[in-house]
Amino acid sequence: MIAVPFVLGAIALVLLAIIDAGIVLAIAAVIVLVVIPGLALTSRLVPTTGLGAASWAAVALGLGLGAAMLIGIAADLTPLGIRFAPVILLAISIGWIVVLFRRSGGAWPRIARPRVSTRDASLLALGLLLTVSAYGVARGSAAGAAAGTGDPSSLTQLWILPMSDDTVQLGIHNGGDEAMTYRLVLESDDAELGEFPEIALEPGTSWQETVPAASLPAGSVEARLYDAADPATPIRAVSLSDPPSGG
Amino acid sequence: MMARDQARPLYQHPLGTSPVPLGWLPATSVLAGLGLLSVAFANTLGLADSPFADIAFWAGIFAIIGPGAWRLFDRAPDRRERIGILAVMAIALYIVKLLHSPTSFTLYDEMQHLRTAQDIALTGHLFAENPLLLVSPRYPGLEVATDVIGTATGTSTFQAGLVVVGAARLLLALAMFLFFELVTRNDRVAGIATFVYMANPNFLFFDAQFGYESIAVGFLAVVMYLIALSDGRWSSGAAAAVIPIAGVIVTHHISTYALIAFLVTWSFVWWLAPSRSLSGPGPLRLTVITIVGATAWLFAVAPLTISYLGGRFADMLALISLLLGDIESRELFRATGGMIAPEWERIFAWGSVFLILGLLPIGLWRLWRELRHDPTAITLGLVAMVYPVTLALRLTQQGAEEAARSSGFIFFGVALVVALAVTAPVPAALRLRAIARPALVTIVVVMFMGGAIVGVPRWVRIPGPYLAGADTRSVERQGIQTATWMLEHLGPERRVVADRVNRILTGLFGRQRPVSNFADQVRTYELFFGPDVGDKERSIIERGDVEYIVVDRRLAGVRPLAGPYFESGEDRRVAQAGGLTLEALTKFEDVPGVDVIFDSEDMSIYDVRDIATGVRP
Repeated sequence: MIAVPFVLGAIALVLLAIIDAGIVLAIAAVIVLVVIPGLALTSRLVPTTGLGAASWAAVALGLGLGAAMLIGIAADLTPLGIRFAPVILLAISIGWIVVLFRRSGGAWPRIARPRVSTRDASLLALGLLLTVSAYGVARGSAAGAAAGTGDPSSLTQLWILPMSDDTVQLGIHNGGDEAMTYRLVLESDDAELGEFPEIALEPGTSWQETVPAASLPAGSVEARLYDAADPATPIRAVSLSDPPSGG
Repeated sequence: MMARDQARPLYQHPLGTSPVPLGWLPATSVLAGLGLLSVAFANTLGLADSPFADIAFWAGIFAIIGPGAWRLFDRAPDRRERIGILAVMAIALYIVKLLHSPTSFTLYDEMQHLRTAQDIALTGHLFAENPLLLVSPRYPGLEVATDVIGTATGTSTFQAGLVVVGAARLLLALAMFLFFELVTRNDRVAGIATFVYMANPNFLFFDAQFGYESIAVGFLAVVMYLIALSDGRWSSGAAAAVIPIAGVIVTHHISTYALIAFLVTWSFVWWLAPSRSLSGPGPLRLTVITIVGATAWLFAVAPLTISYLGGRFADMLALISLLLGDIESRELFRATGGMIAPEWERIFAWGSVFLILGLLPIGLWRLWRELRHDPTAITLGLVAMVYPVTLALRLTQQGAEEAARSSGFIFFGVALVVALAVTAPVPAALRLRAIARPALVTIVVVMFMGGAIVGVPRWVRIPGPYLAGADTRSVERQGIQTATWMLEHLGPERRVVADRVNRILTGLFGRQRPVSNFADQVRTYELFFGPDVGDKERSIIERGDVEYIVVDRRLAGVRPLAGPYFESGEDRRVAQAGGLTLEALTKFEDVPGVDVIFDSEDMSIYDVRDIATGVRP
C-alpha cells in the first residue's frame, strides 16, 4: 500500500521530465539559486524565533527572488555581464557575506510533523499526476493545432532579393508539413526569362538560386511560383521594380 | 530605539508543533488536478472550435476553486491546512494560464517582455532598447531573475520564466495569507480574504503572465507582511523588507507607485492612530526608503517612465469628461470587433461587481467596529474604498485599461473588507445558519468567475483557431515564419512597419526594429488608410527611415478584436467598421521603386528603401 504514492509520484515526475525536462531543471535551479539563499537571508535578517514554516517559505521566496535580481544587476556591471561565471561567483559571495555577518538568535522553524497517511500521500501524488497529465494534453493539442493548417502549400514562402554583388537571389521555403513540388517562372513584361520546372522540397527545407543581374533586362522582373500539381495557377508572386545594374 | 522595540510584544503566528492532519488538502489536490485536466480538454475543444469548450473550462475552474472555497469557510481546518489549500489553488490557477499556451509565451504583453529577456540573454547586459515596449528594459527585474535561472541551467527563457513567475505566484498567496492573518488575528478570515483576492480580474491571466506586474505583486505582499510583522521596528525584520522593496523598484513602475501610495497612507494613518504610543515606528522609515529608491531609479535609469505613464494618468481624467458629458460612455462587454460577451457571462460579471459593492459597506462597518485601532486595517479599508472609482473609470474608453490594471492593487483592500463582510456573525434570530455557508461559498465563487470574465474576454481565455487582429489568437506559424525569414535574409534591426501583431512577431522572432508612433512619434499607421501612395505616405516613410513594410492581407475587412489594426492613436472608427481595405494594404505593389521581395500565402514584404532615401544603399 505504501508503494502507491511513491509509484504515482514517480510516474508524475518521469512524465513531466519526458514532456518538458527543462521545467524540472528550472524548478531545481529556483530551489538552489532562490530558495536556499532566501532561507539564509531570512535566518540572518529576520528574527526567526516566532516564524512558522509558511512565514519562512514566504519571506525566503521574497528575499531570494529579490536577491536573484540584485545578483543579475550586479553581474551586469562586470565585464562578462549576466553570464554563468559572474552569476555563480556573486551568489557564492553573497552567501559568504550572509554567513560572516550572521545575526545571533536565529533559529530554524519548528516544523510540525505532518500526519500523512498512505491514503493522503496517494491522493497528493495522484493530484500531481493529473496536473502533469493536463500539461501533456495541452502540449499535444497545441502541437496538433499548429500542424493542422489544411492546405499543404499555405506555408510556402517565395522571395526575390537584390544582393550587393550585383546578383538577384531567388528562394523558396516549404514551411508546411508535407513534401511539395513547385514550378518557378521568371518573367519581365510578360516575357518569360527562365523557368525552374520541378523544385521538390521536403517539409522545412529551402531552395535558392542566384541569378546575375546583368542577365536580367531593364525594368521590372517578376517571379511566379506554381504548385506543380496545378501549373496554371500561380500561388505566389514577387517582383523587383528595377534589378541592380539591370541589363 | 530599544525601548520602542520593546514597547509591545510582536504578534506571533500560532506555530503548533503537533502532528498536522492534512484534512481536505489531499482531496482538494486531486480535484484541482481533475479541474486542470478539464481545462486542458477545454482548450483542445476550443482549438477545434467546439461550443463545449466553455462548459469544460468552467467545470475545471469550479473543480479547482469550489471545494477549496467550501473548506475555507469551514471553522474546523487547522491554519496549516488552509495555507496548503490556498497554495494548491494559487498554483493550479497559475497552471490554467500555462495550459492556455503550454509551449511558449503567446499573450501580447508576454511577447513584449520576452524581447527584453531575449536581449539580456543575447548580450549579457541590461537596458538594450526594446522598440516593442520602450519602458520594459528599464524595469528588468523579471527578465533578470529569469536570465539568472536560465543562465545557470541552460534552460530556455520560456521554461525559466515559467518557474520564476510560478514562484512569485506562490509567494503572493503565502505572504497575502500571513499579512491578512496578522491584521485580523484570524486564520479563517485570512484564508477567505486571500481567496477573494484571487477573484480580482487580473489574477487568472494578467498577473500570471510573463510580465512585470506578475512578480511585483508578490513582492508587494511580502513587503507589507514584513512591515506588519515587525511593526516597522528595524531590528525586528523591517530591514529585510528593503530587499523586496528593491525588487519592486527594479521590476515595475506602477507597482512601485502603488506601494508608495499605500505606504504613505499607512504611515499617515499610523501617525493619526490613537494607540500609536504603544506601537512601533510603523512604516515611515521604509516609506522614505521606497520614495528615495524609486525616485533615484526613475531619474537615473528610467526617465522615460514619465512620458510613458503621463499619458496613462491623463487617460484617467477622461472620467471628468464623462461626468461633464463631454464624451460618451463605453459600451461594456463589447469588443471593438463587435463581439459581445454571452448573456450568462455578463450576468456573472455584473453579479461579481454588485456583490462586491454590496459587501463593501458591511465589511467596512465591521472593520470600523472591530479593527479601527489598527492602522493597517484602516489603510486597507481606505484602499477598498477606491474600488467604486475604478468601476466608473471602466465606463470611459481611455480609462478602462487603467481601471483594469489597478485591480491587482485595489483588491489588497477589497479582499480584506469583503472577507470581513462574509464572515460577519449572522444574528441567530435569522435562522440562516443552515444556508449561510452554501450561500457564502456561492457568493465568492460567483465573484471569482465574474472577475475572470471581466479580466479576459472569451477569445483570449480559451485558445481557438486563428483570428485576424486578435493578439494571442493571431499568433501562428505563418507570421512567425515570416519574422524568422526576415532575420535570416534581411538581418536584424531593419526598420519595418507592420500591424499590431506582426510588429510584435517581427520584433521578437525577427529581431527587427519596428517603427511606430509609440516608439518613434511617426504615425506609420497612416500609411495604410489612404487609397494611394502620395506625398503624405512618402513623408512618413522618409521621417521614419522605413526600409520594409510587412502587410498581412488577412486584416482586410476585419474588425480587430484587440482594438486597433496598428496601434493606439489610429482612427478607432475605421477599426470598428472593419474599414481597412485590401487595396489600401497592397497599394505599394504598383509603386515605382518598391520591390515585392517576399510572398507567403497571406503576407507580403515590400522594400521601400528607394522611397525613403531615393538611393538604394
